[in-house]
Amino acid sequence: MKNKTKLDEEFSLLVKLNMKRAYFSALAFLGNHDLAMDASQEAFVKAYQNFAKFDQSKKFFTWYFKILKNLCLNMLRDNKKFETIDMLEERMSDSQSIPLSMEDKEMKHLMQMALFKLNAIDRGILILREFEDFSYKEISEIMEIPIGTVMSKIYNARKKLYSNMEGKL
Amino acid sequence: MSDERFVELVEKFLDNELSPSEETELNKILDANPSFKSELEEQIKVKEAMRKMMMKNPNKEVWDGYWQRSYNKTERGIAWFVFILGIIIVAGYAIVEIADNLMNDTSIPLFLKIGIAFSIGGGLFLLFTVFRERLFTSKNDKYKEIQR
Repeated sequence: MKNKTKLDEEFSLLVKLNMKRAYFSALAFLGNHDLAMDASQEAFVKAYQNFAKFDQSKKFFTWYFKILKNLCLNMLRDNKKFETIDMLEERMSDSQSIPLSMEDKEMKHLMQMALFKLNAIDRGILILREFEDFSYKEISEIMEIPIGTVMSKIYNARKKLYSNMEGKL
Repeated sequence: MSDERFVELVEKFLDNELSPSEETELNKILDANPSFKSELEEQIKVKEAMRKMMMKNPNKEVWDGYWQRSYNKTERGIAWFVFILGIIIVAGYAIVEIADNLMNDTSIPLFLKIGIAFSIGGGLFLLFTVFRERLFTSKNDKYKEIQR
């Protein structure tokens, strides 16, 4: 059995390795910086409290994500005063630093509005795939659904997104 | 051909991972189902638009103290819980003591004792109903998804 200091160090490293993925996953569900930060941190604390029960042969993030997803869904259920933030930005290459045109800004705004018309699960899956480059397999593992269902959900979410953007694309 | 297969081929197409035989299969499906062509175009447009964007990354400082702050928040939460629990215990004891002293005080007329008992009982009942209403609203508010 590992001693507490060793476990703390190990867990601290896992937090460092996974904190950005955790935050962006929470943001995908919640669309709010503060709530996403709270949810991802609270999920790490819960994971830490139960770390002894974690099966080390499994992927940490898959185990952690279950805690995070439940927290996010509870937050969505309980939060009445729910404000989304400006969470997207233009993807730029290192050499490119051109300010956004009005058209780009409008597109970004429309995209955010359209994303928030999707239900939390569909939005989460689509964002994880398109913005965070999660593979279908990874999404399938963390959401505990078959790969075919992941693909269908992403496909249908894009369809809804297109319709939510009312032909602006 | 099932819709599922079409979706799988579209996803592979969007990720540039179609094999030559799958490409032929997709083209055949599109030729046989013209409505699928417009669906594919929609998918391409959304994919392209999303490809130009990314999630905003918080500042470096946010990540520096991430784990430490997580723990601090939890500790503060526990501290608040203990503090409020303490206040409830002390306040509860004070109410019982005050009520007991008043009721046993023979110099206070009965109607006043009844009035005091009603005020304390009413106050506690009021607190209970407010708490129950808040709990009920948080679970059953149909409009909670609305952004205010």
